[in-house]
This record gives sequence, C-alpha cells and structure tokens, in this order.
Amino acid sequence: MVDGRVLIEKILAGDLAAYEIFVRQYQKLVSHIVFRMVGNETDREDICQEVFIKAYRNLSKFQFESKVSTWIGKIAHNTAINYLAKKRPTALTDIGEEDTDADSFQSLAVGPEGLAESGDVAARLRAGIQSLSLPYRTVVTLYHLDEMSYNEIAEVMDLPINTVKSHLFRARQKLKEKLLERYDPEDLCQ
Amino acid sequence: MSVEHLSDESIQTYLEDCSPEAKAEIELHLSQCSDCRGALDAYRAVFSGLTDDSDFELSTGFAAKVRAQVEAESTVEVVSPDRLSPVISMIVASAAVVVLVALHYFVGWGWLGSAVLAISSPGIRFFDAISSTVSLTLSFLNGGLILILMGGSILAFFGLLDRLLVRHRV
Repeated sequence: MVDGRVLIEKILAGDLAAYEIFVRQYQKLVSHIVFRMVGNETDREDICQEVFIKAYRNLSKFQFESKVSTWIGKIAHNTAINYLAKKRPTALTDIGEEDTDADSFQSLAVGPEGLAESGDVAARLRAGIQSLSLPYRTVVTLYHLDEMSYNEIAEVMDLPINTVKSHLFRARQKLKEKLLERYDPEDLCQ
Repeated sequence: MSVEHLSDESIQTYLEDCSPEAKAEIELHLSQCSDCRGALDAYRAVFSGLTDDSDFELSTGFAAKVRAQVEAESTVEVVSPDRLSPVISMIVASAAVVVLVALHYFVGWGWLGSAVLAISSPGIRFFDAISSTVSLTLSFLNGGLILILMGGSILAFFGLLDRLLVRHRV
C-alpha cells in the first residue's frame, strides 16, 4: 500500500498513473460505503466513480489534517447521501432501527429446516444488515469492514462519538436478536 | 431461582476488547449458562457476517475507467461562446484587407514610403544600403508589400486574441 500523501503529491504534479493507483487503493472502502448505503445495483458503480472524480477535483484542498481514508470515506458518504436524498428522501429522515424499504430479513429468512439444507447463515445475515436503518448499517460497515475507529467514523458520518458507539451497539444487538428469533443457537455455531 | 444473565454489552465487549479479569468472570458464567452461550454464538455469527467482504465487487478496470474520465476532463477545452469562430476571424481579417486595399486605391501609400526612407536615409552607409533596398522594393511593389505586411499583422493580431480567449479547465 502506497502512502496516501506521496500519492496525492504525485497526482497534484500531474501524474495520472498515481491517480489510478490511488483509485485502486481506496476503491474497496468506497464500494463498502456506497454499496451498503445504496440499494440500486445499477447506480452504485456510477456513484463510486463520482466519488473519485470529486476527490480528484478537491485533491488540492486536502490539508492532511485527517487520514486520506477518512477524507475519501466522507466524500463517499456524502455522495451516497445526496443520491438518496434525490431518489428516496424518506430514507434520510427515517431514524428508526429498521429500513422499511430494504428487503426484509423476515422474508428472506427460512425456518431451521431450510437453514439446515442451505447452511447459509451469512446470506441471511447480509439481508439482516440491509434491513437495518441507514446510519446503523453504515456504522457497522465502517467499523467491521473498514476497521475505522470511533473517531474516524464520527468524522466520516458527521456524528458525535457517543452516537457512533450507540449505533454500533444497537445494530449488533438488533442483528443478534434477528438471528435468535429465527434460528437455534446450535445452528449458528459454525 | 432467578439467574442473572450476561448483558449484551458484556458479550459484545468480551468479543472485542476485554480485561483479563472481566474475561475470566464472563467465561465462568458461560460455563454454567446455556442461554448466554447461545447469545454468544449468535453474536459470533453477527461479528463474522459483518466482516464478509464478498458483495462489494466493482467491475474489472474500474480504476482505469475513472482515470480515463479524469484524463478527458483535464485536456484543454475550447469554450465556443468565448472563442471567436474561425469563420468570424476570416471575415474580420478579410474586411481589414479590403479596407486597406481601398485606402491604397483612393489615398495611396506614398507618404508611408517617404517616412520609411526619411528614417533610414541619414547617416551610416549600412542603413543607406538597407533604405535603398526598401525604397526600391516599395517603389517596385507600389506599396503592395506594406499592404501584405499589414494584412498579415491583422491576421496575427486576431489569431493572438483568439488564442487568449481559449479557457483551460481541469
């Protein structure tokens, strides 16, 4: 992994090969955020592209006061929020624990006999994550997939640290309850 | 007899970062409580599922695609409303040449030739030679050379003006 500062300095000097490396380096992070926040599969990649174009245009303004990953994460988060605000304004005002528009965990989950046949707890858990409210699933993604600290998540999402901690706790608790509602603990033990 | 179960917070902390003392206490409870072991198993499944990275694949060549887009935006862009079109430039330059020809026809350029000769004639022989050549050329072309030079200058002026109006956008 190339140092973000070195890459940015090269890009600002006009090195577009460095920009391509920069995109490769942070595309996982951006796709984690955008894919988790945006349900529409056809628009997701375009949004990711928009994130990197915005980053390129604003690269000269980046002052290295935060980590490059935090900065690009914030751009990704804001771009996804803007997209959702245009497409589905209610998603942003909904502060409940469940995303009512997402595929419901209930409908995707099958009984223990079905579980025994497929053994795919992970797929059902993914559906469960998508059924969480937008802030909950964004927090768990940044924390567990991108290994960001509470401070970094707070900066990306523009939330107080205590809210981040509480979202993380409640999201995981919610997912645990959803699993236990449907499956016996022995079925979850893998 | 009521049993006090582990809180969700305790189990989540146990799975992440927990002091050795707290860990020993939780493990003692877990060894005696099947409900809490069930909750722990559920949390383990949740933690494992949350690190599942399999549904986030961008298309192959995504980085190259973004680079190509940035590259296209970085090139010089001609902004048509600000730039004089080649047709207008040609019309303006042609009009300037027509005006010069008309001036030449009705007024003549003798005064300009005399001025050039007046500047070049005094003093040094070297400049005398040049002025003689200029004088000969002018009389030969009857002012046509000046006409051509002025026409060229006007074209160059409009070319420069046009160039200055090209905007670069990054």
